[in-house]
Amino acid sequence: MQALEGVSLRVDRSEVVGLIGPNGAGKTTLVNLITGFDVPDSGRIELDGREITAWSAVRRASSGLARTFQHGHLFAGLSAIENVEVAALGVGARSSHAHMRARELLEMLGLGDRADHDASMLPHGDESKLGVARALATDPRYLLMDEPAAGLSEPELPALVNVIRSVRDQHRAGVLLIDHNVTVIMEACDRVVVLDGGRVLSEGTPEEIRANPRVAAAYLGTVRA
Amino acid sequence: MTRRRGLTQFVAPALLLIAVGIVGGLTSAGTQEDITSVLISATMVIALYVFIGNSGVISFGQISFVALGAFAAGLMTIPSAVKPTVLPNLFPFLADHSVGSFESLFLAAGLGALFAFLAGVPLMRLSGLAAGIATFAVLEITHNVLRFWDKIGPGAQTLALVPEDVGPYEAMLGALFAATVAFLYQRSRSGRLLRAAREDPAAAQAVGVNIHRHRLVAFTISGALAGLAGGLLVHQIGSITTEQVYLELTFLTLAMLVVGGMGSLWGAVVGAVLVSFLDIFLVDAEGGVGVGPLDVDLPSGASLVILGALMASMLIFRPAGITGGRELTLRLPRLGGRGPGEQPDEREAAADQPQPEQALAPGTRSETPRSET
Repeated sequence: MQALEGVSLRVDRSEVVGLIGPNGAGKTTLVNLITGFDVPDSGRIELDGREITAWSAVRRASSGLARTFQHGHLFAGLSAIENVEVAALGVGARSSHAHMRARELLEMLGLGDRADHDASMLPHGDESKLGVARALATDPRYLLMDEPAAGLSEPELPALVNVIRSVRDQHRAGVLLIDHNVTVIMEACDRVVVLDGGRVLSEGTPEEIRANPRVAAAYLGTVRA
Repeated sequence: MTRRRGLTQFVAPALLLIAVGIVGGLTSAGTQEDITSVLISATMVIALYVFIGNSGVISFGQISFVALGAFAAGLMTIPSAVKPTVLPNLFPFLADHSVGSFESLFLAAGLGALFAFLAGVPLMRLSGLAAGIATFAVLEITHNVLRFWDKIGPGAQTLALVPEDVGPYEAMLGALFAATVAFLYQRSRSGRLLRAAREDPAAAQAVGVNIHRHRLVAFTISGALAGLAGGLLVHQIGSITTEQVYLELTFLTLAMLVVGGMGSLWGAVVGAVLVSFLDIFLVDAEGGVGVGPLDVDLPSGASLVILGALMASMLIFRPAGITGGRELTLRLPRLGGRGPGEQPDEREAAADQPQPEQALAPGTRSETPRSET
């Protein structure tokens, strides 16, 4: 079984690229392939012009390719700030610097008052933000976000869109954003790629995608945007 | 700050070990033997904790390093004058050289670390059931090599004539040393990363944590402390057989760790002390002892039956152990501050309410948040 076929995708450091598609389209598989959690049968993955197809997930993470997970994957039992500190330590920061950086990131993402809370006790919205803070603590040049809007309520979405934009604007990291939530995709992205059945169905600006009848038939039509 | 708070977490386990050691020094010779074993068991359980507690990976193999430490420290301290007579098949190098008891402890720890490192390089890629079985294989291999290779030791015979110079104080110093190393490790970069990986391996890799490397560090340190414990053991009893450092000891030390709580150093020390005393009592009771007006006389083998049942119940009803897998933070009373004896009990803390007095090591999923001041 091939989950993906002939997919070609490029993310620059100055953009947020959205990746949408129905369930089973291969979105998470693509993230896993790019971040090294899955091995492709064929094909090529490059990071800033260097081929990284054979690199381990750890090496990719240390080289500026960060990711968030669906459903948090936080370090339960560690406090929010420790979750972020550990991420900075993981890519080689000194312990005092890691602590400062973690504080900074939590403040920036509006989690400052939750710093000492157990990560497993955080509400969904904060969990998702903490996942982003942790990924940013590795000082990424590219960030892959796997369904950050999952589990968030409608009023929490604008804050998430701001966080995603700030990754591009303040951290100067390119973002590959995967989500089912068309509102978030359309608002946060500079460019959108539509995946269906393991292939690229369409690619363009949010406006172009919205106007594309094939996309509407395959995907958008089933979701109220 | 974290650093200051962290140090207060070392006070409780250290005080408990010191208390046991001092009490031991003041008692009769027979009880001194018991107390010494309690402290040596604590050293072993701390060694187990360094790997199992921080990594969350089970190992049935750590007693291999105790065995190696015990035989190495024993063999190298038997006076060279008698060594060739009692152990005629030894390699000449082993037969011709001897060291002092103190030096032999370094040898035991060093060999334990080296063996753990070599075994760990391939084994640390494994987790869960596979890790359990593979580490068990290490125990079997070690046991059989020591039991049948008489060029490196006594084989199936007892290794005797080892100087007996470990009493309660020496054992206490050994246990304190092990606790210090364990504490420093869990506060180190490697320890923190390993504890994060224990909670979520995929997420740890995604932030650049090389899990294999940090497990190997913990396994090697654990091997060193286990080797040290073996050295202390052989110098306590003056002899050793391969059976003494094999299955029963593996079971007992794991029971101690489980009962105390494998998530914290405090749990390891409490479990070791409580279960060792219980074990000593139960073994005595198998020969019949009086407890107040009662005469307790248990059938042979009852001690292990009871300890096994205790360990199983603990896993069913309180899997994080009696300490809940948390560190206990003790602080000296301050003037105008809280009074002595009024220690924070983290078990009762509300989960979403950070309280400045407590700092809990990451242990179980259900624990309360750590606070920064």
